[in-house]
Amino acid sequence: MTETISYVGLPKFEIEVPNSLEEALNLLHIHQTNCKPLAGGTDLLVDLRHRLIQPNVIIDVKNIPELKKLEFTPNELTIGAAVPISEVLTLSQIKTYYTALYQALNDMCDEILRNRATIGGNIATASPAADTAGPLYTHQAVVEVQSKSKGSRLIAIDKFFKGVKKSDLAPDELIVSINMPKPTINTKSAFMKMKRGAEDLALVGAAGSHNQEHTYLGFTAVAPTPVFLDISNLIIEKKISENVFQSIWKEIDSKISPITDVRSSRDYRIHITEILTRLILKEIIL
Amino acid sequence: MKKQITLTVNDKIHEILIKSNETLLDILRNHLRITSVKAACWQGDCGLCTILLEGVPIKSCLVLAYEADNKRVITVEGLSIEGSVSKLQESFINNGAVQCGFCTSAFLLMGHYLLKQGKPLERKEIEHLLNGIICRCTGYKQIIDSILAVSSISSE
Amino acid sequence: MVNIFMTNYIGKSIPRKDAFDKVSGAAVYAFDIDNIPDMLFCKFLTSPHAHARIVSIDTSSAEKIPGVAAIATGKDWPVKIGLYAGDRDILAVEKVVWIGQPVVAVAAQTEEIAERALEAIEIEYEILPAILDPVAAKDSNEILVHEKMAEYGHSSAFNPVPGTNIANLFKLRKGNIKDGFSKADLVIENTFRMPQVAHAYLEPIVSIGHYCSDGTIEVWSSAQSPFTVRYLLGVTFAVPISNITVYTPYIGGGFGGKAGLNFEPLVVLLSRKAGNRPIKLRLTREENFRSAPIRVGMMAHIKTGVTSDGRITAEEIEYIWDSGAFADYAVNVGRAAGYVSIGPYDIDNIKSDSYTIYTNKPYATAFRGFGHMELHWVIERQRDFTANKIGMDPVVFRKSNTLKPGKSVTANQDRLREDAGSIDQCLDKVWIDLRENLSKTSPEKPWFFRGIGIAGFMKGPAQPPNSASSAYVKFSEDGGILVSVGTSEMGQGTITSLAQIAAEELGLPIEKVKIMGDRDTDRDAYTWQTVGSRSLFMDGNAVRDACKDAKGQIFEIASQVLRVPSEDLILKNELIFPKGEKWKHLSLAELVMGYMYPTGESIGGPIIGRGKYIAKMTMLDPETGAGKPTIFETFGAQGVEIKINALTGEITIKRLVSAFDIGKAINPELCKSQIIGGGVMALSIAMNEQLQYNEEGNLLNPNLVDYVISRAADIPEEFVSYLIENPQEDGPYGARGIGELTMLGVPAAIGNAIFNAISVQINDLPLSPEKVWSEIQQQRPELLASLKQKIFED
Repeated sequence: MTETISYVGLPKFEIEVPNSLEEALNLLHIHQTNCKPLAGGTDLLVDLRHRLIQPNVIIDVKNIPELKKLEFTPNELTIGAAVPISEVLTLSQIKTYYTALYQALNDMCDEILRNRATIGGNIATASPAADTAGPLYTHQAVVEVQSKSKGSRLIAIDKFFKGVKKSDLAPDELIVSINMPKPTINTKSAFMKMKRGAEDLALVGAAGSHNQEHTYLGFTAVAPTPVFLDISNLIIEKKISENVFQSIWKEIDSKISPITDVRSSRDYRIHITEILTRLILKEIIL
Repeated sequence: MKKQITLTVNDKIHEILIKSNETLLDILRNHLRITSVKAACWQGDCGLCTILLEGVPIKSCLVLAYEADNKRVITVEGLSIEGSVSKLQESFINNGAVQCGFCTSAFLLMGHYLLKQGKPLERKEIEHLLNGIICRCTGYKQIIDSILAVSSISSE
Repeated sequence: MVNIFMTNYIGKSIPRKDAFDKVSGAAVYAFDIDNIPDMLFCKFLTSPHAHARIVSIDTSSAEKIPGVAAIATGKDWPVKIGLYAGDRDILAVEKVVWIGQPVVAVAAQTEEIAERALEAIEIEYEILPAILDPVAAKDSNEILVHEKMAEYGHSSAFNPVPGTNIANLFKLRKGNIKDGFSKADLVIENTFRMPQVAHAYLEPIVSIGHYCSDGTIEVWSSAQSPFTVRYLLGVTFAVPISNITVYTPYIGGGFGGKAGLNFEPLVVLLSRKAGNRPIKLRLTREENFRSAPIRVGMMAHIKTGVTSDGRITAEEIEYIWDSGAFADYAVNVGRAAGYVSIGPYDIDNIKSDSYTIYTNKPYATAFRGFGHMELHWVIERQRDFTANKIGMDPVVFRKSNTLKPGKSVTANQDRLREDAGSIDQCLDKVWIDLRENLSKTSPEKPWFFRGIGIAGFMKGPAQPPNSASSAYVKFSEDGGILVSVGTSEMGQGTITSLAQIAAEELGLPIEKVKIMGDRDTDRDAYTWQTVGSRSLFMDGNAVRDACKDAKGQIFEIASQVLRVPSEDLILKNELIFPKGEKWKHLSLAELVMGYMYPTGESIGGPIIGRGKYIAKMTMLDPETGAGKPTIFETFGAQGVEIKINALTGEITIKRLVSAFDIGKAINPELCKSQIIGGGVMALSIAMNEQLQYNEEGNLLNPNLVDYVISRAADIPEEFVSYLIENPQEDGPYGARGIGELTMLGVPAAIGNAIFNAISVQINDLPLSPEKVWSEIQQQRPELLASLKQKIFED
């Protein structure tokens, strides 16, 4: 439907600012679909302005300690759902161990928005083009969510996305953190995206990681949800040849179903997916 | 729902009665009448409403006003020192970084922030860091030149 | 004549007069005016259909919302308005003609209340078949955007064809086209296209209207041409023009998009309905994309006859300009591009038809370049195409056909004057620079390719033959002046150059020359419009004339006081003295408010200098286009070195080299700012910009992320700008205009560089990565296949 009114202000809502996770989960439990959590607001406020969502209550989750956690332990990286990307990027281990994620974050939206935007928000929106989805898969991320009704549960990132702007999150559930195991030595990862100019949403995003045991690929903006592939069984002798690539491409091609939109045609998306896959495989394997 | 917030803007303290759905941009322009903070898209694409919140650049159209309670805001007026312009503002004048002027405040604030980091700046890096603000007149080059010029003075 | 001994300010890069206001945050734009007492805010409801009859409008529930002051529909003031053709409703009356057309407008206490009122309004439509493609629209008499075209008034310079969608047909004829082609060894035909694009000026359109209870009208607007707004408001509301005041504060970019009359009649109408309260309308970005005018789209078919030794014998062109729902400036774009048609060349046999066509899309207006970027995309791609076919160097080929002094400009128009400047010098400068500085190393990956390309061009201001400018200079007690002009400051920097001209003429320090950045039609001297790169030339001449007038008055008094004939007096450094007798001086301050003798007897009085300039042109013959259409032509050339990633189609611009024969650079840094800014704007348009519609005519990218425009990291690594100064005798200090010229050659230069790099011809803009890839895929599939394999080999 064509928009016939263009709103300038935001619709009416109340604001709640819980100081603990418990308090936040209570609020979510009470308001269910009538509320929305606010972290960076870079997607939320835009959707509000366009009246794509009209919650009665906005729950600001930035005062909750669990959601502000940013920690690298010998086993694991934990990124609280409300940590701004610019802060995540200050952690030196991101670049060393999680190269694909680092590359995605460093080129996500822009320098100013990165001071507000969060990884939690990026996946919660569940856009098919969510830049972090591919890297999170290649780093085998697990999302910790909590709710009053179901308590805590862990969702593997490849089970998180359910459709265009649909995730596995129940209305009363809140993303607490995103957790990634420390990769084994010699793991290489990379992220690349294609866009029309310096500032654009990705028309295709591709990420990959590779080590002795596993090779993972993740793609965005090529299907209603991000597309994840474990191609470990296709990588023979740790080498990539045209033949090996063709067998990998067959798998990818069967899983992607890109659309034509303002950013790109379906055909170009397929072509770019192929080129980025080649470049990434070369980067992480050869 | 209305709420009273305390906002320090360019070192002046204001107590403002806000509505929950007002953005920081709404407050700065409509309540405080700081019209140097511009807007051209109201959804974070153009960057013209950029201000420094606790010293960090943010797009004020995407920040709710209540989030700025008890925080410090700097707008372009805060860059001038006792009626005279700062080195960066002077550099914008001398390097031809101004045309229609509608984006100028945003670029000055971003430039000021980058210079305050105290790191040496490369041209390519500045280009990347400025991607969040649109200028339709200047072609960006002279804006980048202006920031580089001050950066090289201060690093000498 | 250029006065050699007095050049304190001409050719000097003094800082902009408006720079301090703008860096300090003090500059006020229409966007910022929120404090007019009693002001209300306007929002409008737009059409969701590209073409539909309005069956009914129910505003009854909206009217009951507290805070709503007035609601207007088209029936409140159903006069047809328009710049060159009266084809436009203030609000849609009988039918809607594009998605985004304002239908109902509300004035309320706040924008929020107005939005709620809009939600409560019910409109019933009867959907009509729409026509979106201008080529189909040109030949359709089934679906008509304006079936009542015959009833519309229009300017005599245009030829609309009632019963069709043709808003204007401009014909250019020279020689005998058949004979011309028969002399050719080779005939080359091509079709080129350019999509509609948005100006994307950053300050959204703002209009504040106040229909005062005494019958006078006040308007504050982000408009480029306040005097045109005033004139057309007078026509619209049948009010004496002197009773209307238009204020235009600083303008946050215009690029032609704010050149005409836009929403001013709407807010004035609402103000009258709302009990004479002022009404402010401020468009959101989406509204600005959907409801405000945009730039024409273009399709051209060109056929060129050439001899094997590189002489063009004939050229036949059909241009189709997509005007959208209203004619606005687009009919004049079609006309201006029509009379230039072939670019800066001398061809004996020409046949060109330029059609401006109505479609059910947003209406098109002026845009920096006014059809000339589009036409040079056609001409300059065709020139390279042709040079390549006959195996000639692209610049050697061009120069064997370029326009030279004494030759007719395009088709039997005026002869090119001896002091018109030189296209050849521009081409040479750019081509030599590009070739000498070509990257020496080979690109870092096998799928990267380098190429260079060039394009030449020309443009003069497209304005009516009676387009005029005026200026006055008013002295203060200390001998300083206020310069008043009508031209607007929207970023170009013209007011700074005009201040320099005044300082130069009157021998004043620039600090004592005040020129306002805002416009007020009551206060300021008249100018026709701020468009077409005309202001420095026209208003510059008017300022010079005003200064000369003031100087004459000063000398008249000084001559009495000093008892020396006026013609023997000199004005320099704020002193007036007889030639060779500097010690016998009087100061300006002693004279400008009247001179008092020691006895107290006084003569003269406060001095105001008055100046004017009027274009010297003619109407054009409707059958051949013959006549004199412009007051000058500025020539230029632009070239690029690019790097293409053939795997993805991405292009990076390494260097952008430009040369313009601008006669005289009054302020060289301001010229270079225009060259860089216009260059980047053109790169953005060439490589990415296009308004995209679905089959229903709904704009799919009405925001600044889906509609991609260049950011800081997109700009070329290097800019080189050459200012060539072959002075034009009737220009101020020899100057010609430059503002729009800075865009004209960029798209064609990139298109030519792509062919140079990978032998792929692309005829349609934008040259987006996808477009480049799809053309490589079609024209050189084997290249793409082999490069893919190289990724693993490299």
